[in-house]
Amino acid sequence: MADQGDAGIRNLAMTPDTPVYVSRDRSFPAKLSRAVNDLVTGFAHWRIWTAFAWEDLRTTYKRSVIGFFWISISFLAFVSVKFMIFGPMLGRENDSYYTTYLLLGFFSWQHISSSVNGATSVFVSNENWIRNDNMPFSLYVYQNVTRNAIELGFTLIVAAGLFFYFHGSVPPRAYMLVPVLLIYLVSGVWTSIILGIVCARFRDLAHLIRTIMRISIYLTPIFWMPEQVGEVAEILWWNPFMHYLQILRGPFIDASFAVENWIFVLVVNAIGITVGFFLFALFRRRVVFWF
Amino acid sequence: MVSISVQNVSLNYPVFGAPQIRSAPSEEEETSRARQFSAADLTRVQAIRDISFELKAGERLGLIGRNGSGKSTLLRILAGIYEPNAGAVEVVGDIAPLFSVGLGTRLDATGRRNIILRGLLKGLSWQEAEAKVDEIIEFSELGDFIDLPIRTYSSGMAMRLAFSIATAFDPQILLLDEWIGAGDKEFRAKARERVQSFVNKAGIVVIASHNANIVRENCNRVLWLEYGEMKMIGDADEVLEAYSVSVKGKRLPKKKRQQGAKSPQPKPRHRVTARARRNSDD
Repeated sequence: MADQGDAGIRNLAMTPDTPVYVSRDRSFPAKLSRAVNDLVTGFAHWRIWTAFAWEDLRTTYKRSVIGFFWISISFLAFVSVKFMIFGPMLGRENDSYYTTYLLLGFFSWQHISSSVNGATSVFVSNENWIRNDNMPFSLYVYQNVTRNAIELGFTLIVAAGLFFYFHGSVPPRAYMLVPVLLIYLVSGVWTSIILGIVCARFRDLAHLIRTIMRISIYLTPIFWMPEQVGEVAEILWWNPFMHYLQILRGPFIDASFAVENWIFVLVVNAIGITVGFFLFALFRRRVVFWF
Repeated sequence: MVSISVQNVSLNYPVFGAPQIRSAPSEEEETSRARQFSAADLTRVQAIRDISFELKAGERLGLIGRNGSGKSTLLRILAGIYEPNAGAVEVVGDIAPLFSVGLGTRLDATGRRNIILRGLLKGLSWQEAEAKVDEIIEFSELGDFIDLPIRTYSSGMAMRLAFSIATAFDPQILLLDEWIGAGDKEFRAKARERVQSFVNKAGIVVIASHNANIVRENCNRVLWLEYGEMKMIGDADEVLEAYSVSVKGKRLPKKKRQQGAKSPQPKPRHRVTARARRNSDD
């Protein structure tokens, strides 16, 4: 069964005589093995999902002169205004600790929030292709993650520029950015699968999640610090976004590895990957009936 | 070897957002495609019921039947888009689907870009896909329009482009839904020629249409669907003959009514389906 996919494009193990599409075995193990095949074959066709991701961005910024740099400009404007308002409000306008805290927090938040919101429509927004072509469903997932990664790149230019402006040097543990961004991408994959599937089936969830994300910008320590809110911080410790922010901020603001936060994030990822994989294996082929 | 094998395939699927029908199905509804499965308390459409056939290289199958008889659904099952609830489907060969205008394209991207995207889907590299562009421009007669977004195309232009793309990347199985009928006469002739040469290269063509003439011109075997079930399968002339008799027979009651005969109640073709299946038919 390993060489028989149910996605209509060939994987590397296929000869011209291998069926490109087989629907016979409806057993649970067969579904799991097809899901693995989908994820692998989809990944191997990287040309498609990178092209689709760029096409998404081209559509968003079509006929615009500045184009993709609007992502950078809008991030810069947002962060600058936040410095202007929140700095004096908290009496820390010249405090480089706070400016870095806010800059990196918002950099991280921008990516998390656009990833989560984008994840709700991974399959719904590709109805046009899902109803026409039998392609691995993972293509749409990788497309969404890639688009978010490109946007992250454009905000990273600004974040790095501002960081140098404030500090004038690279912190010793800057290399920690690599594993952090890697875990952001992995999280993007399973959130896209989980939210893409459940939001296609239950249309209220996409609205609910958008509402949650709007609230979470205040429930997550981006502008404020956990010490400032007293006992509430204990409840907010369960907010997974806080940990995603801390693993990125830690090495830059106080040179810490943020071990506790890393553990939390890794546990969340283990759960997310498991749930995502089973949802993907069992329900991805039903999505076409949910449009 | 290119082949399609369909064994005892059935498909029913839920329709969300459709009005809930709670009445017990009448005898008539029992045989109609749309049915309420009370246990699930969901409107489910019985789209395809117990269909079996085999196709070998070089065969051209026509799917005929009235609107809502399951032609498009069966095509999508062959394409691997709808996974059947029961039975087995096995397809050997690269599939090129041509369902309706706008599906499988990006409307905001230019024709050229869409060609490349479809080429990447076939596993080609960017350069290999780009190499196909000139040939496609020529066949589709789009000229400079190729560098405009598809959104600006007339439906005829979009159709010509879609047909040209689908047949350009050397597929082995062509699935067409009401396509040959569209476009002007000259393009139709050209398209028919291309389908023919494609079949000569040992491909398989499946065309769904309610137009007997289109099926007669392009197919050597015909499967007649009614309410999602196989009514008849066989030699094209034979099945089309029976189909046209049946279609004409449906029109007879009007005369009979004038003669005072009791007119049979026309069978509902698709109750819930008309609303629910949106563009999957026509």
